[in-house]
Amino acid sequence: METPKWLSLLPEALLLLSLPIMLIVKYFRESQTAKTFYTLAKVFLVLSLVSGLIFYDFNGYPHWLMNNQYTILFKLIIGLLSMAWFFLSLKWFLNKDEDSAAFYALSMVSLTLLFLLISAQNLILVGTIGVMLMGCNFLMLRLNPKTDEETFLPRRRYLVFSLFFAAVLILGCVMLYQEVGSLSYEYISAFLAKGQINAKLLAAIVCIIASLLYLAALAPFHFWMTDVIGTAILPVGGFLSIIPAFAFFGCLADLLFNVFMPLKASLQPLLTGFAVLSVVLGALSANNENNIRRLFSYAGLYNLGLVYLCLVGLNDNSLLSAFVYLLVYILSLSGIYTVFFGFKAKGDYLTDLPDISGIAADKPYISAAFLVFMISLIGSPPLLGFLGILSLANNLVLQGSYILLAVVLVSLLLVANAYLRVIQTVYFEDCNEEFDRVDNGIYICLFINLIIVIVSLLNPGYLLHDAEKILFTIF
Amino acid sequence: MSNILSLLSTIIILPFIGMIFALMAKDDEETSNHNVYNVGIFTVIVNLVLIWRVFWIINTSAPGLQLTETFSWLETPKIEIIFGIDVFSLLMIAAVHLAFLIAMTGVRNSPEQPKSMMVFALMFLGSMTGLFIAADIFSFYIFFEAMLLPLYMLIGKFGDIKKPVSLYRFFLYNLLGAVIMFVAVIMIFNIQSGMELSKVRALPMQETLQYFIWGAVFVSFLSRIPIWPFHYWISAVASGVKNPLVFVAVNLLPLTGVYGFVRFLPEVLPEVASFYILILEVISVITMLFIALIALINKDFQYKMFAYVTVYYIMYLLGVLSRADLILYNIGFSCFSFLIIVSALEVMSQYIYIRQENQGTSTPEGLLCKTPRLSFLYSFFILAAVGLPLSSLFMNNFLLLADLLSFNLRMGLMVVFSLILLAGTLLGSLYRLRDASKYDAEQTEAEDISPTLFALSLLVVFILLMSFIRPLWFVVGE
Repeated sequence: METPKWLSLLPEALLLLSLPIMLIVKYFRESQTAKTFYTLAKVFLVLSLVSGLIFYDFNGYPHWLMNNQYTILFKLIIGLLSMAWFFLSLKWFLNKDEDSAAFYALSMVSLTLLFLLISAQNLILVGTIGVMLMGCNFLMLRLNPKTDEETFLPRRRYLVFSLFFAAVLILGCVMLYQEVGSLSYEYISAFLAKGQINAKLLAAIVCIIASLLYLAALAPFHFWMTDVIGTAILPVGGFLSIIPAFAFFGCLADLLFNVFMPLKASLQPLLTGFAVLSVVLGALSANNENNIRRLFSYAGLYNLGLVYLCLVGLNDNSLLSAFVYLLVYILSLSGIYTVFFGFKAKGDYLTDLPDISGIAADKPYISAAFLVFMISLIGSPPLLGFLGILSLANNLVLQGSYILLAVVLVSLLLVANAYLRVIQTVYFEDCNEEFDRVDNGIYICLFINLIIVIVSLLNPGYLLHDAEKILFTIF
Repeated sequence: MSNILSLLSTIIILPFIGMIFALMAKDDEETSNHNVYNVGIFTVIVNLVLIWRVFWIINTSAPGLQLTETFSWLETPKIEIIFGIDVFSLLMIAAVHLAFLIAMTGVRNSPEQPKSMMVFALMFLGSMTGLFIAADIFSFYIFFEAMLLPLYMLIGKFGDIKKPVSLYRFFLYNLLGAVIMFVAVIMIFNIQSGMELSKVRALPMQETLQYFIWGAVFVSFLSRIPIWPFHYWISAVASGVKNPLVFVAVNLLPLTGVYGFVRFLPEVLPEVASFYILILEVISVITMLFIALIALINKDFQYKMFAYVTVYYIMYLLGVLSRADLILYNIGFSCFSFLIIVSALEVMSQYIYIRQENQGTSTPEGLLCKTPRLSFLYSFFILAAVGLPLSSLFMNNFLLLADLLSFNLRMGLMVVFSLILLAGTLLGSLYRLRDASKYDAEQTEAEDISPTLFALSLLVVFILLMSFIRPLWFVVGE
């Protein structure tokens, strides 16, 4: 008996199935708390990941979606990070006594779209998902109950720019279709291999890549991320910073390696420019920021720039080093966001640097974790971040890109300077505030993350076990 | 003898384990914050015993690294971590541990937050130990950079730094040195897959690459030694620190630079390196003289100590650069006593500061007059510091200077002159502290150091005296 085709879509279907269930619970169950929706999201996410693992190489619709070891690796990482983030977000909703249904429902939609994006084998699908993700992100930003101008304006700006880039994405797809006659990866790749490349085709591809980079928040399309991170509620800000990065990376790497490879010579300078711009802008802007979430958002821009700088070599070594750097960066960033849950006074989550002055005296363990993650983000040994920077530097030296290496290292010093300012505030200044008790769940999450960050450096094989072999299945 | 217990890894790991215990130690008013100090002191003592054991195991007269341990660290790119030890690095580890032990005893009654002080101190000690045991370029770099964070935290929290900007710059400047080193390490790694430090020293390279790699390596090590033009940020921080433990940690940083030269300096100097070394020697001698002269004028004892430390490190550096066969042993034996003396002097100075504050006097003149125990110890350490026959500093400095004079007479004479200036500075400060004519008899009588601390200090005196008689006196059958 033939296995039903739809089984290849089971992980995504299970994620979506959580929505009607949440809706039923929301409107028909009397006793419901923030934990109810967290539990539902968690259960369906686990089911989705398990089904994904079972049917990891099952391809029911090969012209639209491809499942293999490469896609399941990314889906698994996203799923596990989401699980941890959902748990932490629950603390926020319980503390604020807010309704969590919309957040978990939108997160599940977002995860479904990200899962599909990783597996996508057709630009129609990529375009549709891209536009839907922009919409989903906008709805997530609306979860902030504040309606003041400071919150409203970034949201409106995001909407305007998203509409613009959605149009660019659609335009790119239409132009490409006019030239190639299909938007299937396989067909486009075969067409480009013939060498029939013209300006319109290049423009179409640039439009598509630019829109995807907008979603990934790489400079010069990064402005929305730092804009909204400062005003979004903490669960949304963290979700947007941590979770989608892997999906966009997976999708872009697939596109670059399997579809646009014949245009390598044209795309490399373009991607290098975007990546360098991100690195420099991120490092410089982080030094002028007093809002800690925005500061780490700029530092994130710097780190994402480094990830794509690794990738621009467009060979197996560059893919591995980019993946290693991304993994290391996301692990440290998720630790930083976990720490943000511990920065709380009088029920409010603190966002400004002066608010956390001297917090180390009152909250030594949270501050120590904060310090460890920051140093890991700088890439200083003996923490996991060193593995990322080592992988990056080795890749750049192998490519002979010494100028890029110099830019990266100067930017690293600038980012280090921004972090030193934070360390000084947290550790060396006097404590003027009484901080709230930190939930034990946050300590547990931090402990697990710290163990990964510390132990993985002692034996990186624990973290990168088989990742290399799995990544190379993309080719 | 085989290294069945992975002794070297254990010696590196122990301070980090101690750090975790220090982090968990219960400290409150009831325990007078002594638990965490005890954890720190216990960790250092246990490690000292292990180091002593290693002295017995290794062949102290054999060249090259012994007790090597190799661990596969990363598959792509293929990187192996190698640990190994020789007499010189083992002496350095022992001296650093003893210096830390003395400094920890000195801050035991400090009112500051002891937990973070001990945590960062042990982290620093672990990294420092790792650096001396590292036998491949990657682990060397890892420990070379890893010590910066705990040091930054120690200075920032307990260094009593007036200008935070100078601390920022100090860290960034050292980080820059480490980053330059990182680039050199990656480039060396891509030239040859063999990562052992011994192979790096004999690495064949293209001429253009040589300029960059040796330039990067030299600059990164020099960033740790207060030599012009690298001196300002280090002196701005190091001379202002009052806490003995922090002072010892800050002033151990230049040792990493000197040690880097020991490990990286090529066996056969390429033309490029010879060019760099000549410039370096000229700058070193000028810096040495300059700092010694400032110390003579400056009234602050901390600055005098900083100048003393700097001049000695530069002298060791010049010794390393002269590349005479046996000079490394002399540097090792001399540095062993030097680090102990610096640490002991810092602890004694701390007591003098406290007495000066308690008495409310603006100058410390005559403060040692009515405190016989403190006076005896302080005088002993100052006399040992200036090179009198009270420690291994005497004989080994003599041999070191003889080597420098035969290597380059003018340079040697300048070094001797700087040392004389420095000796005058230290003896002058001792004279002022013991000057009975300045002692104000109407003031409340200063309290002497406790008999327990005096007894412990006599142990340090004993160690120094024994090192004068035979440098490796603690190794049976040596």
